[in-house]
Amino acid sequence: ALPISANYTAWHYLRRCIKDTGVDVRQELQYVEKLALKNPKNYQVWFHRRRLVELLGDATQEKEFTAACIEADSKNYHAWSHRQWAVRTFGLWDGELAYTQDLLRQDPRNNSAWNHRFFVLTASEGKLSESDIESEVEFAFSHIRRAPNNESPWNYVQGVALRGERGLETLRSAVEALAEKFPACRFAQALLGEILSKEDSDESMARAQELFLNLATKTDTIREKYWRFCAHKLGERGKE
Amino acid sequence: LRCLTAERCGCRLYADGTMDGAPFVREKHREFILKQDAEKGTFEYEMSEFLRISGMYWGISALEIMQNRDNDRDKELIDFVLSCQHEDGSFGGSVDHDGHLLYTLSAVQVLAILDALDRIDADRVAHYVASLQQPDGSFAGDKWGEIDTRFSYCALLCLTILDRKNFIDVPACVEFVIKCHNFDGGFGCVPGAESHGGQIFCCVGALALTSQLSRIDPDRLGWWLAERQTSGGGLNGRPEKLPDVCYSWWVLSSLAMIGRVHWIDRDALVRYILACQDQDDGGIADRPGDMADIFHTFFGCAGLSLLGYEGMARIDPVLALPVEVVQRLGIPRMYPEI
Repeated sequence: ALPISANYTAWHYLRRCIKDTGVDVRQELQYVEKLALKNPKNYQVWFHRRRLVELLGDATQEKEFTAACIEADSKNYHAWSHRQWAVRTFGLWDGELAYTQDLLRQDPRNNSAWNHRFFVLTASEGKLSESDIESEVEFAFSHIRRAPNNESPWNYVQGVALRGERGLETLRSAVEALAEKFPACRFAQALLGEILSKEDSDESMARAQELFLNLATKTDTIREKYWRFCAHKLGERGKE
Repeated sequence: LRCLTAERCGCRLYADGTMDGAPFVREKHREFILKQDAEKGTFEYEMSEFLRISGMYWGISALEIMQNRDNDRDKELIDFVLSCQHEDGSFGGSVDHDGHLLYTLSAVQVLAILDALDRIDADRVAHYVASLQQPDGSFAGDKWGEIDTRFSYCALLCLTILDRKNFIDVPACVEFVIKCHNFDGGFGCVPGAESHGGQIFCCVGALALTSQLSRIDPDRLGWWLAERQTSGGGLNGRPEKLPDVCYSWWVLSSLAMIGRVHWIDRDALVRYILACQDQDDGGIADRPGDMADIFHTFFGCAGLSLLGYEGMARIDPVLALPVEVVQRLGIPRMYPEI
């Protein structure tokens, strides 16, 4: 198959032709769908699609369309960005949490799906309800228990907890348990270290230091310099 | 560390499991870059016409970093760049291609390297760039309105080189970038979009260019960036994705801008980049064993430069120009000493 042009000029002329000649925009949408599936990393195809949808004022096909692209390439940045645009612009929030849930069940390492979930969850301004936070934290931990060395849910669970009144403290006991159950899991140790380092007791700070040094020398040696920095920073605070 | 393509990429594996990086085949890379232009008439050449001017920037910059560039063709290169300009001050990717911010930036960067900025009307270019700013502070790539934080960076960088940042609403530009700051410490293309190495480079670059790096927590972002290093030494652009040489620039320069390059395992990344070379025909690919291209050749060289690899000229992580050029332009350093 011929690779599609990424030539901004050519796309611009195509859109002018569509506008001026009164081509059936829905047909054009179908054509673009085929193009996007064949050339999913081409910026112009996606922008063209967006313009067409705006012209029509109808985004009812966009979920199905982006889902098809995501099926072919689950982390396609453009597809996710387009889906976010359609959901946000046309208020299509219903079903989005369930969609991410399905995708994550199939592949819990899909960072794009985790990001989309966070996007949907935090669509309304302000803090999340405590019960929302509780259920989302449990959702993330359920995936962590299945595959503890997956970075995405660890970032997600922190993002969610930080939206609540108690911050990362909400996660403390669960993370303690995970660190014990999965001693080779660097994310558990890192998060536990972070939580402990924020507590005021000497004992917590000492434990945090120990965790950081363990990460530097055993569990995450490629990032040794970062972990030594964390241990050092804590040491400096201890002196103050 | 097992280099699966040990034969082709030239890495030397030892019995005790240690590995030497492959030799850096500077001359072959030079030949590879110069050869790009001779491919006129090939399908790849024609299909990439729309970004020819960016291709020039990647090729010229790579040669400059490798300290391997002759200036005998400079007049021809400058004339080509100028022939891509339009009345409104914009530059297209090639002759008779519509203007776009991406190619306007590449043009200005190339002219800066070739010391030919005096050949353009800086006010006219700056007016074009300013015309792309939106009410919410964001930038479109061209008059057709695609919004992306890439374009915020392109606008600011272009105007910094031309010393005309005052043509735009800088605080509004910064606020839009800050809106793209995500829960994991990274940045996406628009608010809410997934954190991505390339987008982070653009956003951190934008904040560096406007002296607004204090708006972010460098430790948190630095950790997210350090997490991009995979066990093979290469960097990916997002969690749970494969490494790619281009992130040796996007992620590494971001770390450099916040003074945390040392959080990456330098030796492991150097070995990875060296393993991505094509030892036979020159050029650098995204991954060991893949086909080389000029885009990845530049980013591999730029990454090696930031890592202090021997024989590489220094590159400015904020401006993506050789430090020598930046000094000639009189632009102050906007990042901590590496």
